[in-house]
Amino acid sequence: MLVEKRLNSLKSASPSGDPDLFITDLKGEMIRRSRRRQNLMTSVSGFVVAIAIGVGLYINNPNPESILSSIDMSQAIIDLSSETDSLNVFDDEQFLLASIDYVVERTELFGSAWELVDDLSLYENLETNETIYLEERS
Amino acid sequence: MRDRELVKRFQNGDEEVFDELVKRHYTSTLGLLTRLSGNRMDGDDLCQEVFIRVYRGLKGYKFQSKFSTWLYRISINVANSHHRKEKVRKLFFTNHEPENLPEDEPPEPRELDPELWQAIQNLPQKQKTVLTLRIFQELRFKQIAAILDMTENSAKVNYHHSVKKLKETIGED
Repeated sequence: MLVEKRLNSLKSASPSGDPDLFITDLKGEMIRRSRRRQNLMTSVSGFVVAIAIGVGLYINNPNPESILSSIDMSQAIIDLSSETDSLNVFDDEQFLLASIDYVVERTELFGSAWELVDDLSLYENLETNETIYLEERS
Repeated sequence: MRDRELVKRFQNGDEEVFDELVKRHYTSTLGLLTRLSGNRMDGDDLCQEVFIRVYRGLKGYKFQSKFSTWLYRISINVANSHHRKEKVRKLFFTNHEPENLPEDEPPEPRELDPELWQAIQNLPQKQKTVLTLRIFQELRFKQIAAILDMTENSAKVNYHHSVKKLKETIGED
């Protein structure tokens, strides 16, 4: 059979779907993305505020050595020779689990960041006269 | 009401008309993206991505081209972006078979003529896009040229190269 005829026969297999269901899903996804973007913005703002506070504290006290020298480091050294305190082990485990939770939660944040970068590159596409990029196959 | 008027109403704050735009263009967009991505599941996901981008970009749409041309451009950009990501993914992960659709769904193009379908998927991206727009979306070369920002002659050349390559691949020459 000629290629052209076979191509035309493929036309009959046009995918179909329910537009109303699609619109419902689409709106749900747009709300979800909007929330993620807001969460990301909140996190970034929080980070910026924390940095600003840090910088502010540093400016007000440009000589942190005086504070550091006042801390008795001998209190911070763990005595490994002594018997392990079960309460401390529990605290350590809790700390570890909390750290893992934190990292997992931040993974979502990284995902949002990438989506945001994608969005920003989209706006470049849309604003520059809707140019198209067609990749040549190597 | 024409697309242009719907877009103007959207830009004036009537966001309800977006649903009407989606309904008008959903089937053809889904068809295009299913063929460019190679399977229905990816086609569905890409279709959602396209209309999210349309929604976000519609306020800034400047009527420099027809709405359908603009929509095709976004669709092809999304499909190309997906194609690039898939190439990277295949470098690190083994190839996955697309999931089959439920039985009540009509057969996918790849199920009707797997040999030809695979040959189309193996075409260079530009040729595959031109062929898909010409055969499956039934667009004229002039429209294809406008969408892909190329000359009409270049669109024709790409189309003929794609058909020639398909013939070579499936051994018709």
